[in-house]
Amino acid sequence: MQFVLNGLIAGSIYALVALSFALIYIPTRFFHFAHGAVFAWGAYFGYVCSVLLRLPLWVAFPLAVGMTAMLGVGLEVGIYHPLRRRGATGLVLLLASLGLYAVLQNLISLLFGDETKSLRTGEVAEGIALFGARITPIQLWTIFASLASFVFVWAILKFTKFGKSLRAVASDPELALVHGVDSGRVVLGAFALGSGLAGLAAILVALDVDMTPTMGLNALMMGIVAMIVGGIGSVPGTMLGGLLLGLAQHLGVWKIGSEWQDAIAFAILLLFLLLRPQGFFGRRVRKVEV
Amino acid sequence: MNEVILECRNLIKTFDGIRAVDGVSLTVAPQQIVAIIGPNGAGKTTLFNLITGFLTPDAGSIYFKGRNITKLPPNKIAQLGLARTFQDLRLIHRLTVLENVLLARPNPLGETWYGAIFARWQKSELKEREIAMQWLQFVGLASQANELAGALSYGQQKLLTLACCLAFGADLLLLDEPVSGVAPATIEQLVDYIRQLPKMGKTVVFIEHNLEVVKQLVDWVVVMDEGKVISEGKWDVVSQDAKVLEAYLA
Amino acid sequence: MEYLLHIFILIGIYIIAAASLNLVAGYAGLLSVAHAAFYGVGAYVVALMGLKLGVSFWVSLPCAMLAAALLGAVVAMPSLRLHDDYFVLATFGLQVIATSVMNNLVEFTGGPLGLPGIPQPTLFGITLSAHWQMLLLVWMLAALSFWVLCRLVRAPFGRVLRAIREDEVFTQSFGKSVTGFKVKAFVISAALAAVAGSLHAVYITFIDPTSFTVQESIFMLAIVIVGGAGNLWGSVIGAVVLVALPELLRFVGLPSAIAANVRQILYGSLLVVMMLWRPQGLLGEYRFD
Repeated sequence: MQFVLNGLIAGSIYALVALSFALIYIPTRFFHFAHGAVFAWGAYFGYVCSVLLRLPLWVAFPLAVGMTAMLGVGLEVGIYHPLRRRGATGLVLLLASLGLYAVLQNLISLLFGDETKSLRTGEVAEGIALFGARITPIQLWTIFASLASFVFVWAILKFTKFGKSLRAVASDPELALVHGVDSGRVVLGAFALGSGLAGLAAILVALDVDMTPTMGLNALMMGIVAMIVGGIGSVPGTMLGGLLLGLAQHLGVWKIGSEWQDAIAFAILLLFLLLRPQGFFGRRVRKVEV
Repeated sequence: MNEVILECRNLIKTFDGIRAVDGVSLTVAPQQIVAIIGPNGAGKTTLFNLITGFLTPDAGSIYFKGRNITKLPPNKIAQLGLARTFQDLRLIHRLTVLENVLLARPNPLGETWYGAIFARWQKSELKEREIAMQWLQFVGLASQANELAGALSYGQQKLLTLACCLAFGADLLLLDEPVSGVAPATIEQLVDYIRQLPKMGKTVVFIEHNLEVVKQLVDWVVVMDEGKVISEGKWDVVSQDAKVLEAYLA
Repeated sequence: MEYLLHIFILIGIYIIAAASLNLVAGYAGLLSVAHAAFYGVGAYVVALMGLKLGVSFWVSLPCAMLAAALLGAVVAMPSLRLHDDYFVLATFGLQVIATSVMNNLVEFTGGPLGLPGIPQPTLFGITLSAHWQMLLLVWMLAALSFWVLCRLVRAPFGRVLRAIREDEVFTQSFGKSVTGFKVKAFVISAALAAVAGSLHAVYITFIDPTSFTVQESIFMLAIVIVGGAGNLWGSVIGAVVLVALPELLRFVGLPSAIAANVRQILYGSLLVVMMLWRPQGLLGEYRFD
């Protein structure tokens, strides 16, 4: 049972990261690998605000999330948009994002050092007993925040002008343009929202476990796997993908051992890419037409 | 000697519930020039894609030189002696004109990885270049041999794709709209070259909208509409066929 | 002086790694971030055969190449059905699994602690332990690898790869087996990456999984791209620039802990700059379009 719970907690984080990544991937259609570094920066912004600046938590964390959102927007404005204006293909953007990942992650190492840090204040909580397993308040918050974020994003996509514009750009960019949708603004909004959510997820991880400069790489890959398993372009699918991934991973950990959890996740990724690239709920994207 | 070089039997291909090719049967005799005509969306290019292996039919079969090629992949079908051009003019723009033709040459020395490392392919390359240049001369592109294929005009690029098919040594050429979008002078050139092909032992099947060209070149016409063959025969007969006129006017 | 030799040895090793990656990424257009995995396979095979079986470098080197080639074949065949970003993603996944295996098969690979004391190569009874001896070995193998790659890309084989990069459908329509060529390029590239890894192992005489991560793959990719995708000499220049430049930082007095980070920031920035300014790199022909 503990493993089921652990799986749900991990799955909530994966789902959140996957959602944050999907929000950016859907209107732009390229793999923004630097998102992993933006994620890590979220935790470190949290560190700056709460530990270094000693701001109260209810100020520090929203501020950190905001800073993370701005970082994402900065990348779009400073690098990706100029690249797209020069006619860059998805591969070129992907390569640039790899370079950006290296820069951003090593900046963290330079500024904060490579040691493990934590945002936890006080000792590790023992955890409340629940169905024969233990769960800490932070972990409960994590599941709650993840669910809340999903509802929030779903509501935005369904009811707001921005959400509708995003869906329009996602399904047919040219048609959206004809209808007066400003795709530049939509992309900016997507980066802000996606990066902010990533920051939130990172802070939750840092509160529950710990933080290192390379934490983003793992989270990013889990997010991508979850997104592909659930189906690109499907919000409920992404949530399902994240939860299933977390459960599968922890079940695997239980049976095989925790060192293999990355390998398990990637084996799942490869299986889906080869056998069912549209995931559970996504639509097939044809790559080559004759 | 086969009397039939290409045969399609009752081909069916469906996309999203629509039958793009709906029970098409076709036979082509060797060293003939055959045109496939019909309004847009009739299924002509889909038929080409089925024959050349880029699509697999839902039903029916295809025979080339007596062999069943229905389920074969495109490169294996090509190796049997079939070459094609594409409606959207595929070429390797970043390679030179000469390199494109050399690419089409079948199995040169040095194309395998061990041949590339260990064999003396430089000598054979020189011979291949000679052959390639001959074909470029045939289509009048010899002086552009070292230009990038992407730098050629549209008409010249079409000539280049023809040269590639010939350098490949195909016995059957499937040309998808060989003269569309091309200047009249180049159309004349292309018609002239295609006309010579049967004497060189080659068979040509082409899709075209330019009915003047069709009239000048063909021994046999096949008319398609909405996935079916609605008429076939010599040009004089088909061009008077009421069904054909209706299909084009509709 | 020793330091200068050290730089040249590193450059030589990275030339082999980058030029072999260029074959698949620059010539065939297959963007792979799994190169460090094959590099690592080479290193670990040579290290383990030397440490546990006492096998000579001259025997373990071809074994390492074979191991990497087999892994490359196993990996390539399913992955090459995927295109563009999805292919990159698959190689990313493979790379992470490889690093994971290196970290987790502790009885074999020594896990995170790595394998120290790797025996150095011997030639006619002399152990090649001095820097100048290593330099000769590395550069001879670099020259040999480079020659093999040059032969491949100048021959019709290379022409087919470049055609595949630009238009697979066209290439198939003239009888070439696109998947076959891709697999062969991938396998050869993996085998040569293993050569570089083997040299790394016997030069530094210590290996651990941190040298064979995604970051390392990205670094090798950066060399290929900066020097020029689709031009082998570009990989030579790229290796010189990306290896030597950061090392100069140490001359400026940067402590080595920070130097590693600054080095990565440098190559990351170079990658972004190249994409903005000149995606085909200094000497290359492929712009990833």
